[in-house]
Amino acid sequence: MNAGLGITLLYKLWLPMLAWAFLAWVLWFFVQNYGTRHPVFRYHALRALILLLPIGLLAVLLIPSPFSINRSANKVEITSLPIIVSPALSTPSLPAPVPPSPPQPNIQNLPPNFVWRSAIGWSILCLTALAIILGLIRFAQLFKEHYALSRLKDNVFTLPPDIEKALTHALEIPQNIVVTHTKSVETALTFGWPEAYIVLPTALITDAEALRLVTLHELCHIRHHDFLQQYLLRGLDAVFAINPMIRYLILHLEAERELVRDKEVACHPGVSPSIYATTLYKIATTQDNLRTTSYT
Amino acid sequence: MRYPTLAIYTFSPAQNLKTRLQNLAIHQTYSPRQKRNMIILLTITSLIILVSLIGFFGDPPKASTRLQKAQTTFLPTDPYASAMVFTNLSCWVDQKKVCGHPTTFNVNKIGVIYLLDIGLVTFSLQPFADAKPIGTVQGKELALNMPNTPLRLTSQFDILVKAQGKPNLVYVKQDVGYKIERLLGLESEYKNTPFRSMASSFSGNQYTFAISDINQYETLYTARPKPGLTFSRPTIQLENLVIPPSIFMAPTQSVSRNFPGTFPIEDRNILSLMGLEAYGLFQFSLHPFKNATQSAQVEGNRLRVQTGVGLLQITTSENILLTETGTIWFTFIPSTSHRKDEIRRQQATCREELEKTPTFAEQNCRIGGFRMPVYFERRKL
Repeated sequence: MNAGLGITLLYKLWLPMLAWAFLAWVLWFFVQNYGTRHPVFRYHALRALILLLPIGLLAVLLIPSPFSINRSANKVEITSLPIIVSPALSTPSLPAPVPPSPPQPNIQNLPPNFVWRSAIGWSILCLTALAIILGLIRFAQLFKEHYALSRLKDNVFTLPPDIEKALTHALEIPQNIVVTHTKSVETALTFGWPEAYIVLPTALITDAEALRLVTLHELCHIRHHDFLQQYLLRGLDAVFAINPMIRYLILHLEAERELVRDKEVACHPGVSPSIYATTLYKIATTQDNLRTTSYT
Repeated sequence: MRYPTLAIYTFSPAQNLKTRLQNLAIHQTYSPRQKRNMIILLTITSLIILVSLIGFFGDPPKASTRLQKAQTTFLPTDPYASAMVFTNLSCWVDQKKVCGHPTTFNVNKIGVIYLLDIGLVTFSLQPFADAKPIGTVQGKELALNMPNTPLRLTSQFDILVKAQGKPNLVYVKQDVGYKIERLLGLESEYKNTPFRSMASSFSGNQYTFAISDINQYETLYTARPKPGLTFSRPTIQLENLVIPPSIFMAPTQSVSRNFPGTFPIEDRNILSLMGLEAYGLFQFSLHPFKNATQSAQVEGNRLRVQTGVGLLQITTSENILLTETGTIWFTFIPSTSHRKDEIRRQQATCREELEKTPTFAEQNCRIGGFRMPVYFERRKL
């Protein structure tokens, strides 16, 4: 590794990433403040902005720049500036030959821009190393979360098949869905892909209407493969851990996703938005002790 | 309990209950037309961003453009400086292409650099007083014992090496000032070179290149000491007749003392006929002394001297580069009119004999004055 790799990373990774962050921030600012208030638009806009980062970086890496200057196919890629060579043969004013001794190396004429270039290259390398370390830490956290979810599967109780069928029948989803309940959670949650788990608080089972609405909300998540998306977003977040913009957008995406799913539940036949809002309020007010550390 | 944050919750404290309730209160529907417009808008926006990213960050800027400024600042002050940027090179480690970028690469990682289509290239390593030789010339390849990986620079043309230098710094100089016509006589040597490629290589302006350790480069000595020029194992050819060096080559120093000529020849001005490789790259230019050779041409590794007695061609087994730094003058010793007449007569005899019995020619023509050594001298300023 050397400074040249750092310069290459600067142009192939860091500058595009910075450009993306700036553009994403500007676009998101306008979407938030001047765009439609409909959450679906914001949700899709966020998804597009987030996806643009890996796709754009891949494109930068693989596609040669169409605007690059001094590009030709086969010819020697030399600048068109002719070097001012030494005097011609017949020119009498040749420089005086230097006496053979003492031959002192003369390397003091390093142009300052190259010193800077080298310094920048090494700085970028260090920054990249930091980004890799942060990414590894983030990946470790992701695996830890995955492990915690697998443990949660072992501590839940399945609902009676008839109730489960009645709940999941509300939406026709081809995926295999397991509806469970446990006292250790205070809010409903879903995870797993392709086999999806819905974990309900045991206390919620006694309230049939709330149970139906909450399950419907989780089924909407399952139908749109939100857990898979969640997984991929976390992976993306780990890869670009050093870029705070992507985490910022992911946070907003997850918030907008809940709004979109709420909207979907509210639009479902037989669901009253006011009752669903009441249910949400109840859930929110009964989990004062819930302290998650997460995005959602 | 610490909740796994990877799961998706119906409601979590991180969410804003008010926002969610307001969202439910707003009965805004999402029509297919809105959805179509949204997709179009997002697609256009994404494409704009993508094209912008590719366009502005697709490639690092050409270092040459940056180097131009540096070149103009320091190169003209030093006619011997030949350090600049090598561009559009392919770097190979064995059969694997490890770099193709026009400007930057790690010289320590480079296996072979193919210099095809670049033209005449000369290499020199930075000569340091306390440096050790790190490179050897093997045919048209320059093998350098680099710290990590052996570096081979391959050129279809002549390579000369300044065999001393900083280990990871190689300077390359390209001179594409030659005309293609002058190379036509070298077809046997470059028969595998496509003519079109050669022609394109030998046209255009003159450029200077260098391989440097990534983005660093150094100037050569602003005025570096000039080593002595030597021809090793030269042969003299009279038209189609080649006289091997074993016939005409005499001990140089002794000859110089015994042959005063028409101008003083000092030992320091007479170059020994030892290997050019001992000095590596040496830039010189030919210039006729006022009472000596009339003209000279360099074609590849051949030095052709137009003497008063015929076309004398000197061929060395080493590389000759004729560069623009005209610091060497040379002369052909038999320049007096008396010797010319004598040589001309012997030459005519040789030609007659050559036409009759070609095998006889060598024995006789070598008497024709061509045993004289060729002297070179630095220009006296």
